[in-house]
Amino acid sequence: MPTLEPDHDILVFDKVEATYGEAPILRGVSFGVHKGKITTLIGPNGAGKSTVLRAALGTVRVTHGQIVYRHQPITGVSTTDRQRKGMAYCPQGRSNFPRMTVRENLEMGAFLRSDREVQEDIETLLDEFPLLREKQKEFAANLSGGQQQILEMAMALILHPRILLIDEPSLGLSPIMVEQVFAYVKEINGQGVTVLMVEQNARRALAISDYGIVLDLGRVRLKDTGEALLNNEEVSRSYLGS
Amino acid sequence: MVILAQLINGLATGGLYALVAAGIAMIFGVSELVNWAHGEFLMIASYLFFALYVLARLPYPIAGLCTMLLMLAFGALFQMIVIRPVVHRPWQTQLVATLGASIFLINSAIVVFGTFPRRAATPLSMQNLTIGSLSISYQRLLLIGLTLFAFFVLHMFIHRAKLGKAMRAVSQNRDACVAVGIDIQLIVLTAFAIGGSLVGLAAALYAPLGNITPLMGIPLTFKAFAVVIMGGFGSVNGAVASAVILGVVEAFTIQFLSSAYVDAMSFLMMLTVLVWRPFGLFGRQVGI
Amino acid sequence: MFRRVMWLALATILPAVASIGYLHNSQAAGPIKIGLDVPSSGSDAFEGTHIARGVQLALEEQNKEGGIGGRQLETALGDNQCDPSVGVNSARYLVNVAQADVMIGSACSSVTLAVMPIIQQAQVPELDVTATSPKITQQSGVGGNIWKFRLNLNDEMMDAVFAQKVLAKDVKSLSILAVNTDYGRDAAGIFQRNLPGIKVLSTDYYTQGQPDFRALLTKVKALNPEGLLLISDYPDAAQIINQGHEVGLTGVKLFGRGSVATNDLLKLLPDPSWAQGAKEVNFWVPGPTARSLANRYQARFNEPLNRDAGMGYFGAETLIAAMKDIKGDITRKSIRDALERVNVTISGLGHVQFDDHHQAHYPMYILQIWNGMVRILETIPT
Ligand SMILES: Nc1ncnc2c1ncn2[C@@H]1O[C@H](COP(=O)(O)OP(=O)(O)O)[C@@H](O)[C@H]1O
Ligand SMILES: [Mg+2]
Repeated sequence: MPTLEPDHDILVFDKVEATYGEAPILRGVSFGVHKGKITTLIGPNGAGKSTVLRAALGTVRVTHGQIVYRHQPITGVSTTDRQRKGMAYCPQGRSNFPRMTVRENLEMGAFLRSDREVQEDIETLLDEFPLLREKQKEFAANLSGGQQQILEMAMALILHPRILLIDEPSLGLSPIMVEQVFAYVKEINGQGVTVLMVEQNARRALAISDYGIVLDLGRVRLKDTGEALLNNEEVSRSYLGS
Repeated sequence: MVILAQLINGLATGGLYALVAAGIAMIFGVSELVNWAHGEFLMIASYLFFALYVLARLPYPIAGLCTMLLMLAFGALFQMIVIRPVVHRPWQTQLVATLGASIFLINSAIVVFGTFPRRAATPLSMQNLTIGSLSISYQRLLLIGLTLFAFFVLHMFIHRAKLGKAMRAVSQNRDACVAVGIDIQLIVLTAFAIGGSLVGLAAALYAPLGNITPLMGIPLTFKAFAVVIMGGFGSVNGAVASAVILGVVEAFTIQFLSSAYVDAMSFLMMLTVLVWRPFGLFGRQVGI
Repeated sequence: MFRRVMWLALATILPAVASIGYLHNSQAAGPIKIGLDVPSSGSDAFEGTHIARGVQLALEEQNKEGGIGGRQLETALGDNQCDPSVGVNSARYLVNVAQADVMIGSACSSVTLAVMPIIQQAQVPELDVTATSPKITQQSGVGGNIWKFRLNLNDEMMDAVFAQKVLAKDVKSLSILAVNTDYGRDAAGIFQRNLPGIKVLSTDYYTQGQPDFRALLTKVKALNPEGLLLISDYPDAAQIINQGHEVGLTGVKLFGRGSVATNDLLKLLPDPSWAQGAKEVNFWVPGPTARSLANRYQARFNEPLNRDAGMGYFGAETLIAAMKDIKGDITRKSIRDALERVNVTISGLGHVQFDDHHQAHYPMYILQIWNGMVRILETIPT
């Protein structure tokens, strides 16, 4: 069993506790995200998976422990500064701007950038995602669910992230679209972007993941390679729903 | 001829409503908060213009421009001092905050300037363009012209500028804004600043044509609110279009029905829209 | 249950006990107390302050001559803020705590109407000097509140006489613009009923403080009336005249009811000639016959005499005249009876006598804007 060595890790959670109000949602979560790999968080509804991503991004209050990003603790660093330092985030559910065109959505993805190459990068992305080029003048609301998910991934990529935090990209998509979305995740990772993904569609997700983490009731239950988790009987029984 | 005259009257009145309503709509669009003090922004702006133009004797264009710039700052300050502390509070708290601010502003104006109306007539407001039985001051023509221009600029800003697009973004999906790094508070501040400068413009154009009094903002807040509802809450284009429609409808109501129905008319229109088109006359697609 | 009964008992006994104390007080032959039931704060503070000054001057002058029957005259102030709910409490204060023998006020019609039941119950006479609602007259005197008196002319008297004796002489056709309040609607109605032989081409209502009158004025201009009657206060009237000039509504004869023919209006016009000839009725203004009073007032308060101060002075003079006529003790009741008998000529105002409804009659003033000033055109008997 390979260890998650800190040196390889771009993002490390160290006994992190986080809350939205009074009740703690994360209760001492520790794990590392291996640089350049795909790590998937699985676990039942309400386990705190999305909260892990939000804690990494800094939009939920961390009360104990610390988060280390690129070997630096990031407690007190603002969300936008984390984004400027290479963290990109695709939240759960639709996170585009429905009454803006596809191209405008991509421009909004680049909101934090002030360099002059934004338009060029958008062109490059449109080349990578031909379906978006086809619809670049349409409102995002006119795209199918899968197309919108791909748009949102593209929006995140404009920041040239080092790590992509992506929350349930397959939610509500048709099986064909699920395949395509996962293929894109793999492709993005292939370009050197570390991926920390939350998925309900655990079997599919683990199949393309290097590592998997099982979260339950705000605590890490198991961490291993994706393959090992897929073959773990207990995981199968409790978390893969089969 | 009377019809043409009333059409122009309606456009001028509608323009004033629109300059106030646009700010309310924009602020609601990005913050889901109704700024009940927006009419008082116009009142403060009018006194500012009075101070700059009449008391400090600055040339008209400079006094007008300074009013706009000062109101831009005023809007931003207002957001930081009054709005920021209540953004995460329930709407009742926000209502009390903006209503309280409006009462505070009215009383401040009474303390500083008293209740006797002030006037700031310009050479343009004293001279009329007369064509047949139609007579209108050059100041009002300027008001109509510059209001159109201001809305053209605003439209371009919202659809072309990065900050303007970000305002639309905030009005459409706040979670997604967090994801792409748009600072929502900054955008709300921008909306207040733009709303402030629009009423600054309104004040510079309209103050020469009317009384400046501490209570002048109150009827305008209510007209503007009606118009914002008709336009689909949070839609700037919708509010502007509804303002112009309301202005013209009011003028024709006075001419052909009775002046007694004017105020009833705005509320009747508002209710009709609420019942038949809950998302406003122009529906949802006209976002900020 | 027991507690509630206790409270109820207390609530009924306390005022009774208190009133025994008051009864005792009012028997004492100290100074005569005149309660000032006027606004001395809020948006109408000016009115109340000036009434109070006028009253004070009259009392000081009378006190120098030895007061009345050896008793000095003094005032007690109850600030009603021109707000009925505040006014009810301040009137109770004047009646029960300050122990006023008679009151002057309430200055604002809405407060007067709210306070009338209180003075009736407490049996304290009160004289109004500026409130103009016709309802006060209707509810006072025979068949009504016998404790309420009014010195100043009411709206109905002024409107009817102004319509018949001024408007009807000056114009053949008229448009009316009135503020959309009870006051404006009532006044417009009175004018319409009192203008036989005049064509009323339009009657329109506007919202107080509305920014834009152009649509209304465009309509009026198209009707081409000979006269335009503004039932307005000066801020709205100024907007109407200025914007009327803008829409080219010129050469129309202006009439006002409210505060149109005033210096305040003139201050708001870029060019005073836009209001040249405008006529308005008022129940009093300082004129040549009040010159001596104006001089004394100026010397005492270092400000010019105005309508409200003058009316305060005349109100106090009326009370003094009534009290001088009292044979026995000066009490709330004897003052009331004496007011009903008052029959006196007050210099600067005219002959004052209260009718069955406790309304005084004296000549009213027709004012006119002339060459940038307000002049008294004539006085007309009412
Ligand atoms: N914005 C929020 N405010 C308060 N509680 C929240 C919020 N978001 C999530 N929660 C709570 O936190 C717990 C974990 O939520 P989440 O991280 O979204 O779970 P998961 O993504 O694993 O389904 C849940 O009990 C949920 O009710
Ligand atoms: Mg989740």
